[in-house]
Amino acid sequence: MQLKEKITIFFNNGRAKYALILFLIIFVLSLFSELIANNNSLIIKYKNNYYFPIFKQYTDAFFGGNFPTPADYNDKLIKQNIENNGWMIKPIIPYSYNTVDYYLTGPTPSAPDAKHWLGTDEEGRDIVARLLYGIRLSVIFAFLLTVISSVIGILIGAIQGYFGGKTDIILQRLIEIWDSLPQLFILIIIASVFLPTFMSLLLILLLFSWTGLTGMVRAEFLRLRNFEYVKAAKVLGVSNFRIMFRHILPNALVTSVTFIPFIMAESITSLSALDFLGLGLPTDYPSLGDLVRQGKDNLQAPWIGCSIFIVLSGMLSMLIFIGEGIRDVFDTRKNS
Amino acid sequence: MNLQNKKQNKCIFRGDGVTVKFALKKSFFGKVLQELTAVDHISFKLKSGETLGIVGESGSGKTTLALSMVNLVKHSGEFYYNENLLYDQHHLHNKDIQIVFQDPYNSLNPRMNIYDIICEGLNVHFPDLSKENQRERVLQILKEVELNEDVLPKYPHEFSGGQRQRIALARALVIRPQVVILDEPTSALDVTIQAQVIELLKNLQQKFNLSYIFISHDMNAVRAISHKIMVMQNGKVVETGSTEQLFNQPKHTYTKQLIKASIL
Repeated sequence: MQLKEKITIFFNNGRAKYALILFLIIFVLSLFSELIANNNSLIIKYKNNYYFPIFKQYTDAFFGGNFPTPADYNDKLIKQNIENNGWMIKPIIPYSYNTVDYYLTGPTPSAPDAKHWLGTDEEGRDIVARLLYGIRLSVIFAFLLTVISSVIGILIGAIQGYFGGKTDIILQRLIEIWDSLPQLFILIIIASVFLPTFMSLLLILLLFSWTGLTGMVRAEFLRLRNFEYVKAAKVLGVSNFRIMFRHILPNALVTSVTFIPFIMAESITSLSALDFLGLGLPTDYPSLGDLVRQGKDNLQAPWIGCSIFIVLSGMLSMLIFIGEGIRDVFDTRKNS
Repeated sequence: MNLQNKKQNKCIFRGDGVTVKFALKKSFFGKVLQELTAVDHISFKLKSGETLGIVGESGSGKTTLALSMVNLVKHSGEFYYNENLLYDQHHLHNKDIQIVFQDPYNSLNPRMNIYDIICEGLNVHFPDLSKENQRERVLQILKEVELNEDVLPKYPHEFSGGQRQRIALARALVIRPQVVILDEPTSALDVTIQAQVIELLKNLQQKFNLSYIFISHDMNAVRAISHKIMVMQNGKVVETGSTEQLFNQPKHTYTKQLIKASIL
């Protein structure tokens, strides 16, 4: 089947089509978070010079203020000073994920209004900005986790299935032992010793997530290695490595590819769960799980809980729909 | 091709006491408790440029014997190619002995195009060949198996059984083997296509002085192509002889049964 046909089949599934389009729009937008939600201005014309504060930091004193600290472009004095000597373009949301709005009139978390479309969280930070940065962080995290753990999983599964016999049995027992380790407790211990960062958390989750695909790839290799085209390749003298990756893997990959969006959804969930429990990323990261926790802790401020619920469930549903679309593409019974 | 090979009576490929056993039951520690002897001390000789037919019912061990000839199953006993011992720890396969399988739907990789499928052997055995020379050889072998050039970018599912069997043949022949083991190459095909494939095999044999081992349960097909025939039952050889001799004066009752069944 050609790629063109595959794409047509994918887009024939309406749900998958809209999910993919929406997901891509949101993800691409979130990649440019700095231009959409930022407490720094995009461009400033000040005394006939152009400045780009998102790339370079200027001090308060530089724009006519009193302090040698970084300029706060939401500050009235600075605003007025700049507008008197030129102009400035601000991002649509003039707050970054970690900007605390000191000009709030009420107590935090404050309700949605014209300034904060979805309100602020308990520390006075804009929720839209946090969601935007949070989506980017968790999608990139989940993507890396999925890709790396799939590569490791497929490699190990391929070795198990292709060589079979003792190699298979030994590896299979090791994976079973590894899988039965209490993941959560190990994470708690690690989190209490080290302060988790993006990379260390990725590594820790990777330790346990790679086993997800091995079973399936192993089964596919066990099935496919008995096919006559594999035997013919052996008789031709093709190396084991080449048989595994050029002859068997493309045929075994179908089932794995189908699972990748589901694994990605799972990865987003596990990162959010860890953040929710306070075992994940430190609070200065814009994490979705931390917003879930805030939603739970602040039931009097339903805008937190509602917005994070819609974003998380929407994103996970979209991934599932995309997964279903991909499954349709590789479903030979449906397409014949 | 040297002159020696052209001498009709030279033995090019032979097996000596070939035995294949499968473990049916193993103890916890891997000790074999019960086993099945699929191929039982079979010896054979294949002369250069000739065809040795192997017939027998399903389960008689024909295919297992074929697999052991290309070292795809563990076996005891020896194979000799031009009186050189084949298959030791360092030589698991031999360029000069290739195999064509029964099921043309299973024997071509569905995710490789025909060019890549045929080219694979060249990549292994002639890695120094330039891209143009590679293509030239692929085109040449394609002509030999009577296929058009336009099949090259296509994928196996676009072909009929007979065409696929030609592609499988091209894949085996592109590296110019001397011995081709044909494991029921015609049994998955229609009768008319069967005749075409057998005709093609005969032509190729003459042209390249190939030696065939032709395995089938179809007595008519075997008769049409073989110089000598070996009849197998339950992993053992029950009768061997030239084609005429075997069909005209079968000695063993099992051979008689097979011949009788094929006439019906």
